[in-house]
Amino acid sequence: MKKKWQILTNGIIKENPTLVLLLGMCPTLAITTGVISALGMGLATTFVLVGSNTVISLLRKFVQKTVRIPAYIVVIAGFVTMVEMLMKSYLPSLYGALGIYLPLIVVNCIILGRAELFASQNTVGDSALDGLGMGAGFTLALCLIAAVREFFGTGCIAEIAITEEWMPGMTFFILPAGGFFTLGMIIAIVRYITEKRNRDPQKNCREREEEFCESCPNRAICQNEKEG
Amino acid sequence: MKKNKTPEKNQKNDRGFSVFKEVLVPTFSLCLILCVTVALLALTRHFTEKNAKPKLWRYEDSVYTQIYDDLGRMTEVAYTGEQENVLEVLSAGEGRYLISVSAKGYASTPIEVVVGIQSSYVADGICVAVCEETQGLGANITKDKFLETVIGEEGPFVLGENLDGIAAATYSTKAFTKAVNTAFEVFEEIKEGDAQ
Repeated sequence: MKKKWQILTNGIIKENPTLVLLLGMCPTLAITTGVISALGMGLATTFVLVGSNTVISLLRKFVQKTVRIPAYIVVIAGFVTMVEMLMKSYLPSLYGALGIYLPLIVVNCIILGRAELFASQNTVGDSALDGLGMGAGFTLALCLIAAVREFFGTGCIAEIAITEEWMPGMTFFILPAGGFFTLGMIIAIVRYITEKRNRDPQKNCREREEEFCESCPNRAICQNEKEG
Repeated sequence: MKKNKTPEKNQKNDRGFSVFKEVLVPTFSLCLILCVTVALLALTRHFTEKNAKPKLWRYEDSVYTQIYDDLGRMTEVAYTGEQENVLEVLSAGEGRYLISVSAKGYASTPIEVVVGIQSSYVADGICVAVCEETQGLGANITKDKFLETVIGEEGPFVLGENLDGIAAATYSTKAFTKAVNTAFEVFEEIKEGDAQ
């Protein structure tokens, strides 16, 4: 049970795809000008992540190693097209707002990365949980960046006016440069907090190393080198 | 001779076996995944298409009622004038016209503006029906705060003279102004046509 919980929360905090692994930077910078579009993008990516992780995990013994990447791309592209059709039909305004970034979920590094690193080596349940955790982490990071950019850029959050009437927004935050600035500042804060936590004197060196290694995708290579 | 033949035969067998395992099986598995995906997509399309209601006019009714809330029966007017990018001209009765015009802004998709006009160079109402401009910047042309500076005012509009643009959204405001001015010109041409 503890392991399942750890898989779920890994993507939200320890291995957050946007703020820690720095994956999916293109939609992160492009979509975060408004909280609503960020939330829509995050939910669409979560749906694709959960679906593709589950299917890829189911197919892991069936798909040959030589064709695994094209097979993953077919599965991911299938899910993205489904999301596109559903969104076009039920949420046309959000579909218009996301524009080209919705079909571009197919090439989102987070999805292909999780398919290759996790879903192809773990059980269906664990893979679905990993997809959910990673999707939630991505959505939360997008919403956080979007909230900061929208608030300082327009004085609104989720199109609800907060300081719009008495304080004009700083256009810089809506522009791409503002996106890089906000993302950099948030990553710095997250790193400061996590490193401070790791510097806890109560924890010994071994414990800290184990905690760090647990979330590293190169763990197996490292261990082999240590043993070899 | 026998000794020489046996390894050759084994090599052929090995080659034949590896072609099956390394070429045919992966190809078959990939084709199978592709077929299942296509079938599921066809199913999704079947269900989502059912949901889409056939539209009588270019946009949803809510776009037109945003401009004239007492809309009755509308009829399409065939426009053959000089203005470009005119998407639709509808007569809403009582001398009112709903003119849809597109103009290229900053985004790759042009904006589409529906203008309700009853008297020369004055817009009764405006609705930006399609807008994929940058959120927080160009997308502000859809906001009431900006539209209120145009509705009821006398045109044609010139940016910086009788219309204040949006800071850092020049392309979008220019496209919007162009679309509204084109709608005014279309209205004038229709009126002239009626008079003749």
